[in-house]
Amino acid sequence: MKTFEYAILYHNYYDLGGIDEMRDRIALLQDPRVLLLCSLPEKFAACQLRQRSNEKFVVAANIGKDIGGKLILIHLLLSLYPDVPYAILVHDKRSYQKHSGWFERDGLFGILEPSTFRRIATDFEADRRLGIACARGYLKDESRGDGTFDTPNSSLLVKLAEKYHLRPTDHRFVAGTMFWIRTSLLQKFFGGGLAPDVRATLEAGNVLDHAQGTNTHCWERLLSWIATKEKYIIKEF
Amino acid sequence: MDSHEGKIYNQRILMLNRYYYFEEGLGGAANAVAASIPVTHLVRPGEDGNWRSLLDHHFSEEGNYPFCLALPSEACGSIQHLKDVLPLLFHPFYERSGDGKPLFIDGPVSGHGEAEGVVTEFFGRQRLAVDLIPLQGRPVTRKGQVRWLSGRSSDAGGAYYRYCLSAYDPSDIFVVDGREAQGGLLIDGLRRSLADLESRHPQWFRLAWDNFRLQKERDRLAATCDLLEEEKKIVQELLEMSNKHDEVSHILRFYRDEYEILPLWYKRFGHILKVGMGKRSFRSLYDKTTKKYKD
Repeated sequence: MKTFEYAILYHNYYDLGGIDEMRDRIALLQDPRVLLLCSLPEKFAACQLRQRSNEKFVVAANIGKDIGGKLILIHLLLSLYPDVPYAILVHDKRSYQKHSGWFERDGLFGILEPSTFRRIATDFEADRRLGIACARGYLKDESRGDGTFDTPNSSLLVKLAEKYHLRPTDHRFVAGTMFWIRTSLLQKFFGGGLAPDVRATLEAGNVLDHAQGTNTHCWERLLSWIATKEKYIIKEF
Repeated sequence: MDSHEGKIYNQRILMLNRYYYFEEGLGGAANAVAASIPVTHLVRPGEDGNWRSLLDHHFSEEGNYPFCLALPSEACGSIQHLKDVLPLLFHPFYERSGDGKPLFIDGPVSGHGEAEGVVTEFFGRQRLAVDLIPLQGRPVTRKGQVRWLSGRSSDAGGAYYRYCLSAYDPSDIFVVDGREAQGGLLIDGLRRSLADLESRHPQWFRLAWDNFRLQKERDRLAATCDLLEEEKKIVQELLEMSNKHDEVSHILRFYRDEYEILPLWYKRFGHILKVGMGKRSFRSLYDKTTKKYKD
């Protein structure tokens, strides 16, 4: 089996053009060691996307938006390619409800720009403490310092952090859930098949957290805490 | 199948029932794939099982053909085993039927009920509609009867021909037993019996095929309708939120309060500062046709 160095875990919800866009981004990287794992909603089931040597597809119901898709891909990565050192979580973010959606998306995808990609890869090699790498400006800290958080998700987040033993001292997280992470951290937390269990708890449909907290939005935060809990650092690029 | 596509469509058979090609190993299903009959893999979970090789196979270029799984009933009770095979049920080529993705249960009837409960709950939590079909011990399902085309029965093709003319039910499911060397011959026999039916009883054949085809199409459209309904709801919510959002006025207020309010000389000095910092081109200070900022 081919040896890959980087696995891009891409959730594609809106249209199939997103996959071509991702292929273009990967082509620009000019690195044959990039593996693309892609999750799609069931509306694309009839398209029957073909598995290739460097592209794998899954089709699943829309649970937990991009987080649900990424959890399936984490499960797939750990089942098929647990030795790929780095996983890069991305999705076709649109945020149609916001006028700044495209602006945010361009910023978040900075981690796949060729020069930034190489810089992140080099930093991961050089710094064993680096656990997560994300685009500049998307690292958020909602901690109030008293064990609660400045978000409608606060009480649910505290409960889930307790349940999954995710109690880091650094409560920052990557807003938008697009980042690089060491696969070993995913393996340590999700190994044994926890990813499908977590996915099963996520809400279906278009989940929003404006009025009240949701499991889906809590996991947007907890995914970063998987690294900080283990005393790894998050760095912006 | 790309390079053989023409050949495969030539070999495709018109189905009057749901047919599945049942096999334990890998790679013996070329005839079934060519005939567009979904392959049913008997998957053995656990440390010594074949589930890993199935995962590797179907997530490779060789695995792009319709398939489904048959789980031994004793494996259905283990959540870990179900998790092991879960990626296969998300595979784009996993077979779909009107009632969901077929998952056969193989093994003695005792324990079926408990196994079905565990499987239904596990896949239900993943929002995976799974159509559980027992292979043995309980031949009649709510949808029809599971019937085997086996190498042990002589003239399996002829048996299917007689079945069509005497006891045909489009809900019946036929499992072609490929565990014996005659798997390919069974498919050939099935193909011949279908050709005979088409030539000797053209009206019956046409009606049966249309009935089966339209049923499948109706199921597909019903599933599509559900998905479109869900998507419409999502788009509607986004539209409502977008209408309510005051992001533009927030940005305009921010622009007015943080920038527009400043004196003109201060803003002009800021532009010169940007040139000095390399954020803006010098030429753009006096030539409005030139590009101001880097992308």
